[in-house]
Amino acid sequence: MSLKHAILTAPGDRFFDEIRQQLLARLPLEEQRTRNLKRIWYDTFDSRLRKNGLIIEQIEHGQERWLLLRTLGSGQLQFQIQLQKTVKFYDDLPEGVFRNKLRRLIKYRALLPVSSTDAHNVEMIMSDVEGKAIVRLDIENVENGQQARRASRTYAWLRAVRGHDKDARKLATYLTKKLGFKPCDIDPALLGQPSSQFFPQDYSAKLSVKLKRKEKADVAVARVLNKLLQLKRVNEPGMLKKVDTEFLHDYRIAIRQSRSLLAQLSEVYPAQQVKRLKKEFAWLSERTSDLRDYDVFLLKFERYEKELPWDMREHLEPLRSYLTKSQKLKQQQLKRTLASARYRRFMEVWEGLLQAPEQTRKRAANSQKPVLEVANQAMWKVYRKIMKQGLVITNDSPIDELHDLRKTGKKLRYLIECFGTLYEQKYISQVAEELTALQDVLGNLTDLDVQKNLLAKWADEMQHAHVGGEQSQNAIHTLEHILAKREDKKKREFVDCFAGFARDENRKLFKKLFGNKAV
Amino acid sequence: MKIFATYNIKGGVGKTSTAVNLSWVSAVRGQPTVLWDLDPQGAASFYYRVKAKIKGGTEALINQKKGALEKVIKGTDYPNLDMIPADFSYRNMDVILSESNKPEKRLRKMLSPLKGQYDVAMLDCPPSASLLSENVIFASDVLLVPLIPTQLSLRAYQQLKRFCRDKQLDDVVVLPFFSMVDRRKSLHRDIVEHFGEKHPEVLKTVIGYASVVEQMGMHRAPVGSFAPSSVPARLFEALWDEITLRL
Repeated sequence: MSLKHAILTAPGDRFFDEIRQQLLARLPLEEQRTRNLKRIWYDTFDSRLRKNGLIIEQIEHGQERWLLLRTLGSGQLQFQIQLQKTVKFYDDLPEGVFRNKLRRLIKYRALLPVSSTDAHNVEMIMSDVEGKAIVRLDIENVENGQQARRASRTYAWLRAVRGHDKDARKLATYLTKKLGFKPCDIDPALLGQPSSQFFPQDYSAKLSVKLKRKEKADVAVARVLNKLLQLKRVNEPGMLKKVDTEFLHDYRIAIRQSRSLLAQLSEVYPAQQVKRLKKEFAWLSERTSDLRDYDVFLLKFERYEKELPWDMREHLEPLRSYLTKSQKLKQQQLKRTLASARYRRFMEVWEGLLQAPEQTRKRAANSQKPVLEVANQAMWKVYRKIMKQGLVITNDSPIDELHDLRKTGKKLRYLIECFGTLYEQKYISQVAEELTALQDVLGNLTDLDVQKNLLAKWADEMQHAHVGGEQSQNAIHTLEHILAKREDKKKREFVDCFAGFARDENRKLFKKLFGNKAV
Repeated sequence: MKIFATYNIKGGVGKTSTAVNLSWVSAVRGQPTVLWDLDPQGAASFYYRVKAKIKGGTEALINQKKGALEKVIKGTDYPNLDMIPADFSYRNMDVILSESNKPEKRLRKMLSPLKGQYDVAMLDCPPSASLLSENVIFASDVLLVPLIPTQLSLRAYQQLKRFCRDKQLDDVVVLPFFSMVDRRKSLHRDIVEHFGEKHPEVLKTVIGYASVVEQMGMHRAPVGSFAPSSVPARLFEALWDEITLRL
């Protein structure tokens, strides 16, 4: 046993006070304070912290509140801060290393309470000859939470003060060998009273539907579409409550992937139903598009502000207010859309299609073909379209051609995400990587164009609505010009990038995968 | 990570008490902070109850490869505040630094692995104008220069400015401020009042002479922790606020 940071559980037959007395009597520990506290654990909707072996822990005791980032399992502290206000996003923290770390981990996602526990806590320290703490030990009796149903449980939170690992290890050995403590199998954060807030287990926006090559196309595609339906559903509550912007983002991806899938796979489902659904998916994309534009711009507002000369930055503020107001209006509109009869009917049709009896689906010509054959056809067709569109683009081509190419690229990416499991991993990953490199360049370039056009549109709207003054208009148009300049510069990078994508080696790879029979 | 150093060629001007108290304020404000006690006397280490001893001494610290500094960091009794303790062998630091590769940049290189861990590094320097001083100035973003309002102290400030100029150490922000001021003395009052006319860089916060600062040795703790509502505790907070605002 060599632990310097650990969460240990006391043997079940020992009472809390007995353990406390024993520790104080046998070890050079000093009791600092006794208190009742609440631990609340936070993670993002898609468990980004847990996936990195971390958790955010808030410790509340009266008015005192601390926010900690620690490792799951061992309890090792990475950062801590005494809180003045609730932290929901990384930028609620003051600037510094803690905030930077959290930004890298959670980006735009909100911290949501996962679980909590109330505890009776005794803080102890072990000091050296100078009288400085070298090990911190918290003995804690958990009074409620899931464990309470079984029995009250005693934890020991052991933390080495930096530079005193050896002393902490000695204490850990004593606790385990002499007093029967054991390292926790499951972190208390995962055993606490679950938050009442809806929180899925292992949510991931990625499609992970394992398909079989010989599976009938209609059955396989229905499984993928069902997964997309689930993703759409699971994001709806967070999107409506505007918990963070990523709910809407993931919802829109699920919608677009579903629409793209139906459009690219011809004759897998009855044409009439597909036509109607495609129309409804387009309607939903359109109804959520403005809101996403506002989200994206507002998320990066500070970055845009810094693009301007410092004396012009404050004049961009009316734009922020205008966008925030517009964002709220669109959010209300979204709520109405999802509560509308049209949305309800659309959901019925979609679910109806996915649950339709085989006989109904059989009417489509490709429905009974092996899914691999149908996927190959679709992917090869889209790949060829990319090549056709990309090879004619020059430095002087209009930006619309690049937008069209990006859209076609997205279609291929969605198909790869839906049908990737049909192909040998190393080849499909290579294809996805090549496509991502192309899409990244295209994305950066076309996003600049989109943002530039949006700025022009918003400046116009603000002028008509008499929002902001002349200086505000100047600031917006200056930013527009800065983005336009950057767009021109980026545009020149495209031709080389596409030449890389279109190289012979790649053509052979795409042909090998989708052109003939699958690898 | 911003690197601060409390520095003056002259001794006994309040460098250590400034470093100890400002690092505490920074940590309390939620910024992970590391204080490096570079003075072989080890007063800052003493105040924080950290044993002034480094395994292998200065030679091991300076000559070992990347990461040597991280291994000697000790936590203090305060959240977000760690310390690199002093060692009596620091008295030989000039000699050891002179034998290393790019001697004037050594400290800066040693501090670089701490960037992702701390927001603030505070260097408490011994009084001198040496290779170590050159290292400290080269490594620092900000030099905090405590000045007692006496002619000798002001002369030392001029010497420091000349030293920076001669060594072409122009990137560092130099922020002088008055420390250990006794308002009963007319000389102190006069100097504090007029110094800013020729030196607009001087900070407005003035740390007065106070017995509670001397009590730090008895409590072995920063003023803010044992006398939080005392005047010096509030002044060190004000000084930190002014410094961060100035930056």
